Amino acid sequence: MQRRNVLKAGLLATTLTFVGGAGAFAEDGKRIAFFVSDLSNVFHQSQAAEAERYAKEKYGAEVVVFDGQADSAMMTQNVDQVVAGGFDAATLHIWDAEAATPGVEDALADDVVMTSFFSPITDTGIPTARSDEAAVSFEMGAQMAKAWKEAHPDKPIVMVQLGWPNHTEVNSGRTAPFAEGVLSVDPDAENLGALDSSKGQEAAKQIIVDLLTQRPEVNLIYSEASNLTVGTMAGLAQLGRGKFDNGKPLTEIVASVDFDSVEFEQVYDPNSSLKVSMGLPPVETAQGRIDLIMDVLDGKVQSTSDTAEEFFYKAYTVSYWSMPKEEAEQWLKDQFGG
Amino acid sequence: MTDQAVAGRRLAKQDNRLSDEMFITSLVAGAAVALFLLASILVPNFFQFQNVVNLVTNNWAVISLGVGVTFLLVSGNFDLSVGGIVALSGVLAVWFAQATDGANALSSGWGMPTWLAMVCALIGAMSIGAVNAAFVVALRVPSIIVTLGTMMLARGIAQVVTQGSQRNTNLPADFGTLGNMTMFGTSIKLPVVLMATLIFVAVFVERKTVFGRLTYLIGANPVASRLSGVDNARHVVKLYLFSAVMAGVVGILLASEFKSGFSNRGTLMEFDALVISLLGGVAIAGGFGSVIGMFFGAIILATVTSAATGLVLSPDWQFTLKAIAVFIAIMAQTWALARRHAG
Amino acid sequence: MIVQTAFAANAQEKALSIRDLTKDYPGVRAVDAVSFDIDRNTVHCLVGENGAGKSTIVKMLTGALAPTSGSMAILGRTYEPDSTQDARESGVGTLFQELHVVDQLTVLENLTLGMEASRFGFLVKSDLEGRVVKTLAAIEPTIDPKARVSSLSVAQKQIVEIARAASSGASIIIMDEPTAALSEREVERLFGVIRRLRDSDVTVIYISHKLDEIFELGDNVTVMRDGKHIATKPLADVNGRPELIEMMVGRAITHDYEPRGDIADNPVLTVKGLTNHLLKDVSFHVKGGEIVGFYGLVGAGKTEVARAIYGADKADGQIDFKGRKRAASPKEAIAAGIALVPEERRTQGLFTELAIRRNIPIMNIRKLASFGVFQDEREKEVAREYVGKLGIATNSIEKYAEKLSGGNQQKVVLSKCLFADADMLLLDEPTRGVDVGAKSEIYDLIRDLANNGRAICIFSSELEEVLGICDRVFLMYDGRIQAEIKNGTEVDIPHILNVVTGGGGENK
Repeated sequence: MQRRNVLKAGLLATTLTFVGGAGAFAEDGKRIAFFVSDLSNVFHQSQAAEAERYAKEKYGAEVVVFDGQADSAMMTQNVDQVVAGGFDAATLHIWDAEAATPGVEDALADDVVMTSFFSPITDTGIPTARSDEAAVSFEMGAQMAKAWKEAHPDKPIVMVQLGWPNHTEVNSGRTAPFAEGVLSVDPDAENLGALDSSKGQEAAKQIIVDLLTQRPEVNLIYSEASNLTVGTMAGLAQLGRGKFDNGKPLTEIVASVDFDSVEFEQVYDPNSSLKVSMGLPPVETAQGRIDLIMDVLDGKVQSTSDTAEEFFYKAYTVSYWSMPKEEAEQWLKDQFGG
Repeated sequence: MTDQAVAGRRLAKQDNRLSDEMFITSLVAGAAVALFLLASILVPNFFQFQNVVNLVTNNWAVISLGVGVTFLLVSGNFDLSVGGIVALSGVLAVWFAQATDGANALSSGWGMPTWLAMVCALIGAMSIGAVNAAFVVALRVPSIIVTLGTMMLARGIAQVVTQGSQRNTNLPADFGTLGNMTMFGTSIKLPVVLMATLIFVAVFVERKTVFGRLTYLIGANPVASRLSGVDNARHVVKLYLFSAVMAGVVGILLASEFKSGFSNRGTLMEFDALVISLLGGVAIAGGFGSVIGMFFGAIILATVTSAATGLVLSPDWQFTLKAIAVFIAIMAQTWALARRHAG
Repeated sequence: MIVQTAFAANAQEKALSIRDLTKDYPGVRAVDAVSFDIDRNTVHCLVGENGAGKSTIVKMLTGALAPTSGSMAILGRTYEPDSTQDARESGVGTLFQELHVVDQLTVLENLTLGMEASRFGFLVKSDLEGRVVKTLAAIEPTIDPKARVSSLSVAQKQIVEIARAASSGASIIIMDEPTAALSEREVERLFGVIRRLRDSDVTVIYISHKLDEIFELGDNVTVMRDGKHIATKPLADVNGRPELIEMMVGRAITHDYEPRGDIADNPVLTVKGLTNHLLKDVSFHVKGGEIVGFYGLVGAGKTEVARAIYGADKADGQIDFKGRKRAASPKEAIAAGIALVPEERRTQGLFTELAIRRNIPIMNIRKLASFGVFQDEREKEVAREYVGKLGIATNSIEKYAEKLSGGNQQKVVLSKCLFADADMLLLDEPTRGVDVGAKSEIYDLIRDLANNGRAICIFSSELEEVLGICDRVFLMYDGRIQAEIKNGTEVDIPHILNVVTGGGGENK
């Protein structure tokens, strides 16, 4: 008997990562399961810490972090742990929505409040929290188009996006609004469309080299993830591009997503063509996710609806043109603790 | 003139016939050129020198892997572990080189100087090759099974070390030197030059040395080669170590180029290396094929990819197009060889 | 028995009647107008030397070969199988030397394999299982139908195959050397099975080199020689081994052996107590300049002796070649000066997909290299030299070895050994599948090599070959050297045949 308990505890320890005092149940507060896809990622670490702090301070609720360990099977398993663990609510971060659907439906049947982060869970209709990527993408597109037109009024805009052409949320949050932003400034801009770079930075580099050799006229590039941007900039460098002349565009302007300390150097370097990046804030993200779940618990938001309701929280446009360098530095410090 | 001399002259004349390998290699090279010209007609701006350069420079990694894979295939063995080794050696090199005082687990490493970190990473890559060799040669497990296992093993270790993502901070300043060094005042980088050197050396070894000969013999008939005094086991061990070291170097150079050790790097590269070898006319059963054929096989695949990128095709179409190209190329080779033998 | 023979006139009573059966290969008549009858429910033995035509007859019976002319009839009905499947359906089952059971399946699954009743592609349960279980129990009750075949011994697997043939309704079962891989106890058990089969309305055609088995088991025997039918009679009427051997040999074997001088006094190779899975305490020595033969039937252990000396197989015992200890691998053997022409030319000796010139230097490939770099031109020279020297008939040294005739292929293999500068040549079946002209060329070459001081061992199952060129001959049976004879004009051929078929022997 004794041995079995030990074994069970061991199992729990591998699936759950308790942030803060494990086992100390809040007296009358709610217990919330907070899913992150991968706790080894700095963004998710900051997000988890903030969620724990914010929930306790504002709502007196206890947050337990579930680490998906970058493994979609693990994330799905964690859904089943929610019901077993007697939680009041969960905010999910799931890569394989199909696989998680039955678990989510079971939890709903057990009156556990479910919300999702980033993507809706199939047709369960649970509310989804997303950062307001679309607004940022639009603004970046518009800024880049404006900067290009000012520098090269005679050269027509040709844009391209590197990312996941078949991914619904990426398309609605990044690809499409970016193009709209560009077109809002220059309705004649040509959009080549999105290229699949899901294989990673080497793929991004290869695509940039191939594409810009055959279509050297491309001048606005949206690299839809920070690791792709590494490949994009390497490809541009190989072609002798990727440069600004003291703040003035030469051959192209590049936008990225997931602003971090590596990109900080480039965005504020007047001689690099990477000039804007979407800042995804772990602090606002965590707060938005907790707020949404409390709203559902308080009945302010319906627990399910026919098509998942989407709630947006703030994302930042980190830009050479519109955000001073010191502000960006402070932003990084606030969001990621230095 | 004696009868023997006449006979000898007659023999010499017949002997200038093109070997099957040269035949297939020229076929593949011809197909690569034809494909490039076809793409030039269909894709605007495709026909330019820079694009030819791109076909090679964009694919230095997979072509380098293809060399080891081709030698092993010719000897009758698979190596599916190279993609995993690319990830592993890159991750290890970064981990060993990262300073010890990082803010969190992913930004602290062993603090080795860059050169030592790279040497140690190479040893890590070699040990995967040694595992391959041990299971294939000593325990006689089919190579496709062994290297499928070590493919996952190598990537698994890389994922453990990077906790499933990547290490890219706290690196010595000179870590990026090797991967980004440009050569001869052009934009061509060191890894591309190394690949070209590797190809020349490999072709020489394959065509002109005893080592190359033995590789073919073992693949053509392992029983006869053993009975003819060839130490098959030792030779295959050398080939696995060679392939692993090549994959290790590729992984380290990629890590240096991007200044990051990424556990998903090189995903599916083992299959690309296998596909370009087969495209280049290497027989999957061993005993036949050439490095130069593999090189042109890579160019065929690269041409399709590049043209698809230029046309901004959707990922589904790109994949389909590649599959069709591979299928047609391999069928055409089989057909051409059969015709030649019948004729 | 005798009663049945008395009714022999009635063809419908015969399990099998063969009339004027003939099979021609290009240049060779393998079976020449053979006629005989096999009585129902008997064990009918088929004997003859290697090349007498037994296996060709078996192949025609099982549908693997079509006769050139002649006819066969089962129970009076014409029998013309066009495939082994067809033969099986006509009630002729075969137990081949290589087993055809599937190791991963159970005994029962093996027995019903290929016989499953199906409807619209789905398996249908039938009384099939019950029937095969009954058959198996009748012939060998100790085998569990649910056992996995991989757990059975070779003998048990054979019995499973026999049961499969029997339960599929075979009225005739052909067994080709079924005891080659069996221990004595297993042989006894197999004989029990065969007798039970005979008693349950099955006719067995039994082919074996081991004459003792034939006397123990057989009812009738047919003797073949040089493709011709010599006699068919009840074994009871055969006057022991000598008569059978006489029928098998017939004429005196012609051989043109001439004693040679020039044989060194000291042995170059001394073998003591060689023992492995097949060999038992094999000891002998070979002198420089001497041609030594190893004669025995299939499975006697000749190939194993050659491979053990060559380092290709593991074996216990001492091997001393010119003061060097035994070779642990073929590589070491070649380095010591021993070269092997293997038994299977196409799969073990040659690289059939490679050109002639690429085959020839293989055993000594480093000789054509300087600092690891291969000298292509030297290779071509060497190839042309050997093509000329051995008279390999080809229009190009670039021709694939595959495209050569058997004799020319064998010359390529011999070229390999010669290029290796071997002092001792091990030749395993050196002229198997080689035409007459090439044969005598190869013999001349062998004599030539010996005259130049090389030691030669010939491992052969052709008596004529061994007596034609060897100075001394070791007779092998059952993994042992049973006798040693000195070649000469007074060789006692019936004695030799007696020894190699298990008649026991003493050094002579």
